Amino acid sequence: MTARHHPTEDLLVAYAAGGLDEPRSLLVATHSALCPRCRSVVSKAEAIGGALLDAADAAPMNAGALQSVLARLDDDRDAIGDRPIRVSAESEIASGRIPQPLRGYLEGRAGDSLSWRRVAPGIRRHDLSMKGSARGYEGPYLLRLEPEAVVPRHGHHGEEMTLVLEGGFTDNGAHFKRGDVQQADGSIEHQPIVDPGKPCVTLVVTDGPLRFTGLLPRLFRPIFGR
Amino acid sequence: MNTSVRSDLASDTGPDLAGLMAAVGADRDRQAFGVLFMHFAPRVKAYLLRSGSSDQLAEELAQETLLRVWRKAHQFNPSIASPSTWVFRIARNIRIDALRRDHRPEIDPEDPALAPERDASADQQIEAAQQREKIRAAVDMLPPEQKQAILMSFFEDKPHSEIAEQLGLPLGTVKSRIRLAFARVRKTLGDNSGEEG
Repeated sequence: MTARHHPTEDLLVAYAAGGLDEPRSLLVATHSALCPRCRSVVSKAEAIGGALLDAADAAPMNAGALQSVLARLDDDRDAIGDRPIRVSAESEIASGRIPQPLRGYLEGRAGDSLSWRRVAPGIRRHDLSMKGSARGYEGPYLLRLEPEAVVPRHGHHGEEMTLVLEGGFTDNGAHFKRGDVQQADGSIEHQPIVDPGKPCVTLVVTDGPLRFTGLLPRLFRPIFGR
Repeated sequence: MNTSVRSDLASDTGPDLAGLMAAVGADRDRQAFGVLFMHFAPRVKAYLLRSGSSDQLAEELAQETLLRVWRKAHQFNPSIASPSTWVFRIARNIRIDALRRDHRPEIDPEDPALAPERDASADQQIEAAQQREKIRAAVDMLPPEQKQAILMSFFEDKPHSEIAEQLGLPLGTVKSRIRLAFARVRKTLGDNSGEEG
C-alpha cells in the first residue's frame, strides 16, 4: 500500500536542507508522512545537515548567554513559533487519515466546514492559507473530484505537483493513489480521470497558471487559472 | 571543544551527546544541558550567521534553539536521529520561521496517519548509529566542489538557482553536484537509491 510515484530526490534533499518554499514543503512533508521510502531519504539528507553542524566553525556566543538561557528554562510562556497543532477538518478525508503536516493548515475548521467552492462540474476546490510567503504561487489548494470526473485537458506554464490524499486517478496511462505524487512541468499536457466509486481528494501546488488547450475547456480558465 | 578543528569527528572525541540528551530529557539535568549548550550553541550560531542573519539575531535564535532543545529533549529518539541531526532540524525550523516568516511543515514521527515502516527492527536501530558515523565520514570526504554545493544548500538558505548564480555555474551543474554528493553519501550506506523517479 505504499506510494509508487514520488517527488524527485532533488526536492526531498532541498526539503531536508530547508530550501523549499512553504507550499512545496507542505507537499513533500505530507507525502513523506505517507511514504516510508521518502522519509528515509529525507532523514539521510538531514543527517548531512547534522554532520555539517558538527563540522561547523563555532561562532562564540555572548558572555552570559548560557546563564540567560538557564534562567528561562522553567518559563514556558515564551515558546516562540512553537505553534500547537490540533485535530481538525475531516469532512472529506476520513478521521485519522489526514497527515499531520497538512492537518496544521486545516486547523480550527471542524466537521465539514472546509469551504469548498465549485469550480467545474464534479470538481470543488478549497484554498489553503499560508501565513508565510507564497511568492509567485497560486495555491496551494485541495481539489475534491467526484468519481469518474474528468479534469479538462491542460498544460502548465510552470510546475504543478499533485499529491493524492484519498481515492485515485489515472493520467497518461499511470495510476495515482493515496500517497502518490504527480509532477507536471510545462512540457506535459494531461487529462486526469478519477477512479470510479470514490471521490478523489488531492493537494495541489503550482507555480504558474494552468494552460487549457481545447476550445471548450477555455471556459474553465477563469476558474482554475488566475 | 576547539573552534579550529573543522574535520574533527566530534562524537569520537567530544562529549557523549546522546547520553547528555537523555539526561536532559529524562532527568531535566541542568548540568548536562550546560554541556550541550556549550557544544551546540556556537555551532548553531555559525549556521545562522551563514544563512544571513545578523550577529544579534543569530545569537538570539541560537539561544532559542537551545531552549527548544531543553523543552523537547524528552522527544529525542537516538534510533531515529543523532543529536547533531536533531539539533540541526530544530535550528533549521527556527531559521525558517524567523528569517523567512514561513511556517515549516514538519513530518511528525508520532502522527497516527503515518504509513509505517515495514521493518524497523532492533538490529536496524543499532545499524542507525553506525550509519550516522558513515554519513559523517562521507560528508567529510566529499570532493571540495560537491561539499561547497551541499554546504551552500544546507547552510545558506539558497535555492539552487541562486547558488548557481553566485558560483557562476549553470543550474544543472549545481543540481548535479548536490545529487552526486547525496549519491555518494547514500552509497557509503550501501543504499541503492530508488528504482524509479
